[in-house]
Amino acid sequence: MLTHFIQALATTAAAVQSDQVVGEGPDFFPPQASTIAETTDHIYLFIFWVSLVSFCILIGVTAYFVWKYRARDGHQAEWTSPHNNLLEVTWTVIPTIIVVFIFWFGMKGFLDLRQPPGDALNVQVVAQKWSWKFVYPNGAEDVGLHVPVGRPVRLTMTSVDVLHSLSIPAFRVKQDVVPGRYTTLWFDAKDGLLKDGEDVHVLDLFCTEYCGENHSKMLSQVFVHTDEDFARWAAEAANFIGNMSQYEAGRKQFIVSGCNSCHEVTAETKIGPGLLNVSQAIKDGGTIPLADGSTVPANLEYLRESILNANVKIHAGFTNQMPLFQGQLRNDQLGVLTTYILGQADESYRSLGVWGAAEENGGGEGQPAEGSEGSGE
Amino acid sequence: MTTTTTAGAAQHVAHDDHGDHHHDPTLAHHFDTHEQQFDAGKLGIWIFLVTEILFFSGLFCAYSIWRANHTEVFVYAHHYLDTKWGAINTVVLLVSSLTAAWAVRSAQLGDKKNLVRNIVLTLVCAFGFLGIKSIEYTAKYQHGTMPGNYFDPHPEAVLITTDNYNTVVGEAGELAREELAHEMPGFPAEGELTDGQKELVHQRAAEIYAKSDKIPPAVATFFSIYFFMTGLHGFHVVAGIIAFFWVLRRARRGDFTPTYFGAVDYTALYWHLVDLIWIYLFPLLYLIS
Amino acid sequence: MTTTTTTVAHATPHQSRPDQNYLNHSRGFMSWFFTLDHKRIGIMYLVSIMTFFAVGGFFAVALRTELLSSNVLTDAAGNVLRDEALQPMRRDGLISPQTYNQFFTLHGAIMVFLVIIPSIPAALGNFVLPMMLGAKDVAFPRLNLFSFHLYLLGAFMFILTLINGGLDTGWTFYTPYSTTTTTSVVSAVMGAFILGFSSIFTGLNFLVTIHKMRPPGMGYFRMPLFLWGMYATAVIQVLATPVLGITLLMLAVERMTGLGIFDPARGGDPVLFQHFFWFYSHPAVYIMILPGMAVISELISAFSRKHIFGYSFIAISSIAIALFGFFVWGHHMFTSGQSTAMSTIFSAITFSIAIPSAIKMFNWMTTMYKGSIVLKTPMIWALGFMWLFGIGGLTGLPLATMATDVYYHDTYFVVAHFHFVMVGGTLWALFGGLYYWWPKITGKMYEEKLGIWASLVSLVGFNVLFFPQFFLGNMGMPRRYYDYLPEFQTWHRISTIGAYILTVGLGMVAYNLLRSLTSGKKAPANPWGANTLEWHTPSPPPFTNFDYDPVADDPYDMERWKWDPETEQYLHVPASPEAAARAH
Ligand code: HEA
Ligand code: HEA
Ligand code: CUA
Ligand SMILES: [Cu+2]
Repeated sequence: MLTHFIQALATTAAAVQSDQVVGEGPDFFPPQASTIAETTDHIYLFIFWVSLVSFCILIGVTAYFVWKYRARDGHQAEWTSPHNNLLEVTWTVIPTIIVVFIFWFGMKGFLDLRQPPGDALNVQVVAQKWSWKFVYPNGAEDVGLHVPVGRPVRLTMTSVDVLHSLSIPAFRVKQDVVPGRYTTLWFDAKDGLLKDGEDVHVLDLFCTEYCGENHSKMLSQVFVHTDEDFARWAAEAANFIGNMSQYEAGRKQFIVSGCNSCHEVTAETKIGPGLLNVSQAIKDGGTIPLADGSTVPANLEYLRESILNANVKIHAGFTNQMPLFQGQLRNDQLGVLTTYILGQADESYRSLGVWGAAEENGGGEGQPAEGSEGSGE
Repeated sequence: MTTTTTAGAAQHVAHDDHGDHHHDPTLAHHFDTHEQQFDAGKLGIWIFLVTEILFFSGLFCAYSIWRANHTEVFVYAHHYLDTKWGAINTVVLLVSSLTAAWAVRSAQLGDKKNLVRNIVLTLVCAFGFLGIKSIEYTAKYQHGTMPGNYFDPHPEAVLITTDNYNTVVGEAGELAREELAHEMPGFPAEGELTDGQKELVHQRAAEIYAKSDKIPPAVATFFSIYFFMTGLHGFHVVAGIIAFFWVLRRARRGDFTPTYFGAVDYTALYWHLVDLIWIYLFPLLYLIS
Repeated sequence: MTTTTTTVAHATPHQSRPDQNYLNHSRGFMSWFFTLDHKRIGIMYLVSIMTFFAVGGFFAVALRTELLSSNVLTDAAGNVLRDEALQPMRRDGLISPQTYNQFFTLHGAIMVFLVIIPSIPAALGNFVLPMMLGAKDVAFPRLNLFSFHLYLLGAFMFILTLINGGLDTGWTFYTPYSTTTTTSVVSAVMGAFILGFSSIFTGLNFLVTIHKMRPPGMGYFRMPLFLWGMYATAVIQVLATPVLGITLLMLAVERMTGLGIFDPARGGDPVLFQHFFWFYSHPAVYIMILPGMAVISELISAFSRKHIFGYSFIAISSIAIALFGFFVWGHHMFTSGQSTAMSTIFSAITFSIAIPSAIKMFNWMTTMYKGSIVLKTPMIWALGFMWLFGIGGLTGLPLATMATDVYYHDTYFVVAHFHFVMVGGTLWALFGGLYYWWPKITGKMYEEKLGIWASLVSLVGFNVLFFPQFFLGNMGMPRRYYDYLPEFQTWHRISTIGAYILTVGLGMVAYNLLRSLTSGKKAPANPWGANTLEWHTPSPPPFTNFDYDPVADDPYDMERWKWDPETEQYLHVPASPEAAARAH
């Protein structure tokens, strides 16, 4: 730890001088990437300058008094009147006027932030520990937020477990995501954001409401596309199950549904069990130990149930932290997911073709998953 | 102004009789007069009552918000509460408040006999209140209408309603018994049942429930609120009882005099507050429409 | 008009048994643990609070050390967010994310509930308040002792929490995370509940004491401003804390039986909890700062050798802050989904609180005008307070502004803001007050030079620690992050180095004060020449505080005390004829 610390000191000293660590050096603000960003920054800078002036007056005069009237030989405190209503009124009224202005600008800015224009593109957001899912009007789903440039976008957000908060610093927007409720947020990626010849510009997206262990890993990115590029992306993303082998589509779905934020597909334990073990047990016809001490046979039935309703059969050694996927996954999505997991141990699943009408892996009996959601507008 | 300019002087004149101001054991050493002591206590207890009100107001607030969001649930669920017992308890507490006030008056007059008698009466009422409350709680326990996660009403205890929960048809158990008595000659419409008959009622009640409106899921929260509020109030009643026992002991020992009866006064004030809270709880929980 | 001929300058006020004081009045553990003496209770609070401050500080330094380096390069989906080359110091964390979450939660909860809320009122207030009133004790000494025992019980519950799985909810206990996490929320919540009642009873005691036990000559507008501050604080303690109590009780019941009120699955509203929580916790920040401001009023006047300026404005502004403070809680919830109308109202009222704070600051500034400013240790802390609280308070403005708070909410900007006001404000005032009353409390003088150096080192450390966090906030760095993207690393490192400097400064404080106990010079009755009543009795005071019945006069009449270089203390002198004429 000590060596670590010394190293850290050294690199910091270097970094402060050369700004190497952060490339362009710490900017005061992230780029103003949305139409409202500039307003917000102006309000902030107004407050900043007013505060700086007030502070300098306060501290400047104090410092002057401390120096001028410092106790020293031959210096005596002199009696002056201990009240003066004119002064009191001055330093009551001036700050009052200042804060009235600040309040007013802040309120106007906030109203703009709250009212999306009518023609906004609607994107549904589902937050869960610790990943984001964005659902687009054409049914496409992704963990990244893809938006066209220069067009208002409105996010309708909800959470399946605890509070989260979606924050995009470059857009100067933030809104809590609340379970059992829908909250909204809108922004308009500024036209000039994409440089000439650029198809897509990437910005950071954070979860800013504390949501447990991996709160700090609940990051994502905003991809600001040109109109054409957005249309291309959306079409591709909506149909990936129809365009890829089941196993490959499953790999993608595994990420889109946020499975990977808690599960490895190796034998390694993360928040949840490593899925290679489950896959292997199913291949070998083995059993799975449960938290209550019993065991269940490892089979497709178990796998599906554990994806949709994780709280029913909890794997020994874990507490249930997994959200319910019942109603969140379409049939085909669940299908490719199971293929992907089964394929970890049993390579034969990897060569299955595209998810089609006739199902190889038990699509027939009583499908638990129903109702796709979020096909927008 | 005289006092202020001479203040520095006056304050350094020592009192050689320090510590001999008062031998009166009922006057604490840091007070100058009985009046100051009594006023301090009185102000203290009033502030304490304010904190108590704010403490409960959090619950009342939660209650109001919940009720505003789920009116139908409240209308439905309050039928589970027994207004008769609630009303009796209200009277019991009102009487106890009266005797408590009377106790204070007796203490002021130095009437030890009446003081003791009234404290005892107050205590009797307080125990009566708790007794009735425990009858109600027991019934809830037997019916399975417990708070939150423990809400699991027995089919017999379920209230059957129509008209979007507005009209009460009756308790499933009673309805079942009526039906059975109607269908089966010899099935007793009233009185004790054998185990077999109980089983029949149970089954029939379950059938009746299965055919009627389902209990709204938020009813569990009504019972949470009911138990939380009445339980917290009950806790205050118990605290009051302890305080009154302490006052009773001191009263019998003859501690109180017309200049020194703060403890009686403060305890009675607290008791009035406990009473007052119940007066709000009763209509809010039992008398909803 | 009587003359003042009876008065003679004197060193020590008359005392019947000069060698007897409250410290050696009786001995043994029991004589402390079950004492009814407000002075001993104050000291026991002080020791407990400082102990927990060290514990809270340990967690803070540990989490700052973790933040020295970042290692996040990919998002949850495994997408590469940053080029590895940008980050020379990438490493695995020193502690796990779960441990980090526990550390900042315990840090925040301990610092707030066990340290800063009780700090000035329960420790210094208990000691000083009755003496300023010329009283022998608070109105209800038994209740006072009970408060302290409740404090210990609450602290015990926190220790239980530490042993028993810790706590990872953040100090704000937001639902539904707090109702679903597996850590021991119930014991922590019950601890905070009990501490709440400890705080309520202290407030109640002070209210009654101030109302009913003022000495002759002390009308409400003759009270030292410290008492006004304590009074305003007590009003909040009494009115806001019960709501915290019931909220925490609801949370505990929610966890144990599934109350349903905060649970969306049962039709409840998780955001309701935030309203309840901030209804207490916003006023609570004024429970923290008002006593600090109260101390500063005393210090600035005493060390400027000047009558406080704008007495009644400072007094009334405390009450104004206390009252307005009840109606602004929603400014913590601008992004929670609360309605725009509500946000607007909360924002407007929040700004109105900035005004009384501004009034205080400018009055302190003007107090120094034509004074004779003695730069002793307490004054250094007081000046540090002006600097730090000025910054902390002013950075509250962009947070109270709706449009900008949307950007700053839950970023390090907020972290920096509240450390500037809580640490730079309250803690600085606490240390100022501690140095100020230390001679009275212990009868010993500390080392003056070391005291000043400790204050300056702490001031530098503090600024290096928390100023960079404003930059982090501006860059968008979210709070409660175990890990962060590489571009935040520089400022985080500087901040951590500041934390180490601050630790050194505070270590010097502790060393200086503790050493004075064994090797400090004996303190005179009035080392600073302040005129509030506690300086009219020996240091340390006798068991009953005063050996006579004190009469109050103007608490800020500094001209009644003149420095005597021979005995190195201030002596009480007759009022000058001009002063007598003015008082007329
Ligand atoms: C001691 C504690 C303390 C104090 C005194 C304050 C004082 C203030 N606070 Fe702070 N605050 C906290 C402790 C405190 N705060 C804490 C702990 C949090 C975070 C909790 C959490 O989320 O964990 C917080 C968070 C917080 C928020 C929520 C931020 C967010 O989460 O998004 C807001 C928003 O309005 C806010 C505003 C203010 C304001 C306007 C003041 C005002 O009272 C400040 C007034 C003072 C001045 C203005 C400076 C002095 C005046 C001058 C120098 C003269 C010039 C003045 C003018 C021109 C106006 N604070
Ligand atoms: C009064 C309250 C208080 C105090 C004093 C502090 C003091 C400090 N705080 Fe903290 N802090 C909070 C209240 C406080 N904090 C709160 C409420 C939160 C929010 C938590 C949450 O999000 O839930 C927070 C969060 C918080 C964070 C953000 C964590 C995150 O969001 O991920 C950080 C990070 O830098 C931090 C750092 C520090 C540091 C370095 C100090 C240093 O100033 C500490 C210095 C102290 C010491 C090093 C102790 C040294 C003691 C001695 C040497 C002996 C003294 C003994 C005697 C005198 C006898 N604090
Ligand atoms: Cu999701 Cu933090
Ligand atoms: Cu606040």
